[in-house]
Amino acid sequence: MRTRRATARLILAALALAAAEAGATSILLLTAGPGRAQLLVDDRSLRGLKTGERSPEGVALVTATTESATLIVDGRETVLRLGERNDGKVTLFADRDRRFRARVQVNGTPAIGLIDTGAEAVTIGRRLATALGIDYAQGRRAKLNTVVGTVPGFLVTLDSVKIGPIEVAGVPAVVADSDAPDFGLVLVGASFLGRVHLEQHGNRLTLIPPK
Amino acid sequence: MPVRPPLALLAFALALSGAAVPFDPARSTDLEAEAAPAPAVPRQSVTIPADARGFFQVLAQVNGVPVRAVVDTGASAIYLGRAQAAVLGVDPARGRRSEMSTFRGPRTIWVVKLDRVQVGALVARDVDAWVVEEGEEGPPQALLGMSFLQRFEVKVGGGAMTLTERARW
Repeated sequence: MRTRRATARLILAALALAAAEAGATSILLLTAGPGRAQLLVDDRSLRGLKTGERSPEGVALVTATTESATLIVDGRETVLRLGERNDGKVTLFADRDRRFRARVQVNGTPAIGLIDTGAEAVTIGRRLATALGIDYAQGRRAKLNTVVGTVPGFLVTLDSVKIGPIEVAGVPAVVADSDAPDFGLVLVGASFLGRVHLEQHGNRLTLIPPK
Repeated sequence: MPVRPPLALLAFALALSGAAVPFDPARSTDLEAEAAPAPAVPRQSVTIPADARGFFQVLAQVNGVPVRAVVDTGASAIYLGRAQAAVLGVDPARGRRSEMSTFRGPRTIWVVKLDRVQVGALVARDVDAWVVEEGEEGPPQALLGMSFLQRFEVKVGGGAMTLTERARW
């Protein structure tokens, strides 16, 4: 049994290696369960694989659990967690209200962010800023430009704002002098978005790190 | 996290295709290539440079009437002030009353459909929009929110945003 599995792995690896000639294949792990996984390959092709199967792109599934999958991509063994990609990008799916929310780390502390081109800077309400350990009282008083008008607050610089593997350092941010309901979220505005690339296809938004 | 395969698969198939087609894991699907042979007609697109604040401002047309608008991924729908709606001939009273929160506080809004929204050569029909309640503060200019953006492929990078017609499939 063990040998057979090892042999199967070897064959898969050899097949994948042959397919790898074509170049880097991008993979997003959409769903996974015992012995099966569903992938989005090259942001285009939806592939359902069972253990041991290989996609036309040469991507093979080695093992899968409900949390992660081990794949062979371009001849290399690659472990992806659910929702994760193998190419350093981040893909978000629109919520029911069509907006894109993301797990974001602000100076290493996790929060939920909203991708918002309508805010000039990363914007955080007072209460959330306190929870995130941001010492905004030291910041300069400023007015944040938003597409619905200005919002008073404190200008700070965040050492790090990170979404998945994409980290931007020294991000201008405003701690808004308000706790309006939206501010339970970190509004990920232009001061972060201007330093990455975005690609949206319908319900899917991909964040691409700067080169 | 426990995974319920049929639901999860269906949800993702829906999210990806935007259509009510259940996904069969035994079959692989090529979202663009297989379903549609390479389109012979080049797709229309519009490029919008970012302004000094990083906002993407554009001249749009709603039902043929020009209006300055700004792209806002933080808004679920197109968002109009009362005066803007009047200029565009949009009657909020034909909509449904609702509530929402903005940067500048809670607002009462009227949810309506815009027949035709155009930016450059790109056209979207029957687009969800919100009109702020009489006497409440609306946006200084129209917001092009997700109900419009969702209809297109959007790329942002290098200080510009490009909207492109979606492949037909």
